[in-house]
Amino acid sequence: MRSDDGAYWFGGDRGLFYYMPEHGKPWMTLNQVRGADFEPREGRWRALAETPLEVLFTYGDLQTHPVKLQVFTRIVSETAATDWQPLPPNARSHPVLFAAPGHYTLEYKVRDQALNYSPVYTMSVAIAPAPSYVKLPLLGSVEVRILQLLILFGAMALVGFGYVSVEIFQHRRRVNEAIARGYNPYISGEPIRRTEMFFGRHELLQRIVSTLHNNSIMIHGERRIGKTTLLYQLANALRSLDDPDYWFVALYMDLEGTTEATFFHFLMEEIAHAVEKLDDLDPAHRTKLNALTYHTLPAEEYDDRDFSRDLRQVIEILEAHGALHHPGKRLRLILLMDEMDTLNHFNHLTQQQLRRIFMREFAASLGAVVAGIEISKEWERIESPWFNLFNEIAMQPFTRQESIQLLVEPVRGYYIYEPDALDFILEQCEGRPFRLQQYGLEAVNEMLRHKRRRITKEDALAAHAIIQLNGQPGVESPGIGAAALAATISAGEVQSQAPGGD
Amino acid sequence: MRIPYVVGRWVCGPNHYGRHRLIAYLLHTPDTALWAVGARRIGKTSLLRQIEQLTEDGSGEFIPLFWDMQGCETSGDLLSELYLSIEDAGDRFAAAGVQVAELEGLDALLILRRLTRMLAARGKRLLLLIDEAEALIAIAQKEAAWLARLRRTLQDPSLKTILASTKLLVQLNELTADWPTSPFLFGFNMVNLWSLDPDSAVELIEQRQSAVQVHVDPAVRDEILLHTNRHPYLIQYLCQRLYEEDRNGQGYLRPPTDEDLNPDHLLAGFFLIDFQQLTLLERRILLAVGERALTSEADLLAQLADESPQRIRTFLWGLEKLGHVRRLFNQLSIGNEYLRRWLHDERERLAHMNETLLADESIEPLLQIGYRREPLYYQVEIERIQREHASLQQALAGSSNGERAELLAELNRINRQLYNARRDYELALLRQQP
Repeated sequence: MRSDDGAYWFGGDRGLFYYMPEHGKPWMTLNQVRGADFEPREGRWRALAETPLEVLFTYGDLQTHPVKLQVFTRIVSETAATDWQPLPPNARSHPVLFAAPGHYTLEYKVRDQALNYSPVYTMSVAIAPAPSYVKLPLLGSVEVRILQLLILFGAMALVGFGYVSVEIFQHRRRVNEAIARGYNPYISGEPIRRTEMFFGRHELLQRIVSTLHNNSIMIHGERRIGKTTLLYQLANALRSLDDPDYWFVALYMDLEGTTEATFFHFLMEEIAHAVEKLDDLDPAHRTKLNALTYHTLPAEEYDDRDFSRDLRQVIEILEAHGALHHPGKRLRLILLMDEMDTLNHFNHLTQQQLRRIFMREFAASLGAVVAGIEISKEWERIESPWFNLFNEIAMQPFTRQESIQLLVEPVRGYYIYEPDALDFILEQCEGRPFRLQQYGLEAVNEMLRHKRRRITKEDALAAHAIIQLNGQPGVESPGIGAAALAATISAGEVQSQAPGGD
Repeated sequence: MRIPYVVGRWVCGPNHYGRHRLIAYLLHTPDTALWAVGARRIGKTSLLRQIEQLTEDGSGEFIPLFWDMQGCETSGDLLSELYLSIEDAGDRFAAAGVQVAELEGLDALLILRRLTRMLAARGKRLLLLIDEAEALIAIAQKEAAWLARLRRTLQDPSLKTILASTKLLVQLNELTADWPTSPFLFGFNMVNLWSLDPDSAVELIEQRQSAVQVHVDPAVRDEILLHTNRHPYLIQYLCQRLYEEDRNGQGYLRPPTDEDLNPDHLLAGFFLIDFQQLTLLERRILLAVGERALTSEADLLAQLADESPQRIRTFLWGLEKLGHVRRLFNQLSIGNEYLRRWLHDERERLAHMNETLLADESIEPLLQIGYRREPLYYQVEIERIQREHASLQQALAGSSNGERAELLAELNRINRQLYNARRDYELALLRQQP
């Protein structure tokens, strides 16, 4: 019988019993899920399908002994919910396995002996598809995606290996061919015309190009230090320069052998000839060019004033041509004058006349880079010296690094210098590009004679001997032919000649 | 990369910095004939070219004609160059109603006279800008009579003549001393061409007139000013060495190293030419000043005790005016660091150079006149600037809002000129004191 205070009275053989039911609810804590990762941002666990998971929890009650508590669970999917299932008595974990991917909620509750139920505790789990696995011999079970990557990398490695093999094969073939046909890229005695064979002076070249917008340059340096090469490379650089404000017209001219009487005629001939060769030169301009005074006057009678008038015409032609083909850019006509020492022997009046031309107003667009061994600064006239138009740049020998670059780069991929060979050559050449080329040329020839691809110190010593011999009076001209001469010299003989240098 | 500094060739327009006061003086002075004298590389040609550019539009009083005399050895050469120059400026003269072809075949003097008359008839005045006037020395030796006629033509008040040369032109006076009339340079008002004013020197270093300016640390800028003493060529020479660009293409100047301050072969050549053009006393003074980093005037006078102090002061003034010597911390020093190093290295050789192109006696009268007249020169300049100042203030009073900013900027510029002119005047007066 139930009393008003909610208690019960039971009657039996042994008397009357009073029972007051307990109403305290059990509690539960879901701790973690083994086999899954918690994603704090989403507040849910992440796991793969068909991966065994184990939910760990703790629970309790004030009145009921834990052994007497019963835990129930059910899984709620996006579409359905299972029935509540009891877990084994005293369970501390719940093994679970999701077959299909999706979002699930695991729900738990606990019941005590008084039949009080805890609130429902939930845990969200996102189940991602389980990777596919394949069984492979030796490797065992491998995830399909990893297998795909393995196949991809394997294929790439195979292609790479094939490519490298082909390259190695081709490289060997190239090297063999190079050895067979005596490939020797060094240029001895000639200026370097090809840009890809120009080494060691790029910084200087860039500095000069940067200066030429407003200035003229005078380069001086010892014989064969690379002045002519620098002028050639300047011409290349200026022709290919895409300056936003200036259109550079660079004209190389070699003054060697020019007589004083024909100097101005020679200059105009070179200038006019170069302008004639301009692409798309307007026929009217060509006619104007053909009407220059230098065409009609004998070279000896053509003086600085004739040159001045003709130059004015040429600059007008170039400016008109530039307006059409290089709109918005100012003309900069740069005369690259080699062997300027020729002027040392000219009357100072002629030099003064040259300066006067450069000082004219229309010549504001005219610049020059002149090169010589030692351009005389002697000046006996009372007016300004002709050379005060210029900035002076002394060409210095190569640094060690530049020397190495000049030696190694031309044969890179074909031949290899042994370190002691390189050191020996560098020591002998003292940064002189001409000698570096000579040593490179002869050392490679010597190496080729032995059908090798490594340049050894013996090759360098043989080159040294040849160069020494060629430097003696009465010996035939240097070059590849001299290699045959060297062939008769044994390494021992060469070494005995080496000390002393040149 | 593009290095903006111009080293060697003459400059004008936005590439020309400073000389505002000198140009204003040359254009406004009532003197008909002027001689701008300066050492090598100081910017004589650039000064003339700048004046030419400022006046070539023909809107003002003058129509300019630049006459380059270098390389001329006869009056025939001068004629050819004159005619070529007129051809070069053909458009300018055509705009003033002068047909160049009408002048062909005439003698140079006749061309000048006719050109002057033709322009005068149109209310214009010929501004003859003669460069490398030293060429006249050779003419004086061969064609003295022609040169005498040229002098008369150049000093004709219907035109204005500005000659530019080194002081070697003084030789003309020696060569023409026996003329029945005055020597050639008599009647030419001499002005000295030396360093840029401090503001213009800074503007040049930072390329403020250029579209793209150069970033210069104040310490680097001050070092450049100190080493070059604001010499326009040396500023550009040094700045060109120091110019670099950062990754964004912004130009800047790195601090100078000791090596940057060594004169190269070319610069040494210019210094030698300048030295050769000094008189013996000038050389003695220069070498004496160069013995130490700083020398007091008293020490210098003691070192050269065989010369009168007044004479030394006069020649010293001339050396200062041409930039060979400067005053640092109220003491005497060599004009710039490059020259100091060159003198130091060449001292032995220079001390034994006894051949001179100019005698002390040739240059002394000119120096005495210049020394004496210097305060007067500044006084006249101050009066001119004050007149310009007053006229600007008047214009400002009656100006509308649109013009005020421009007028105020101009007034500011004039104020600075006035300040500098007064400072120079005071220095000149101080120098006159015994």
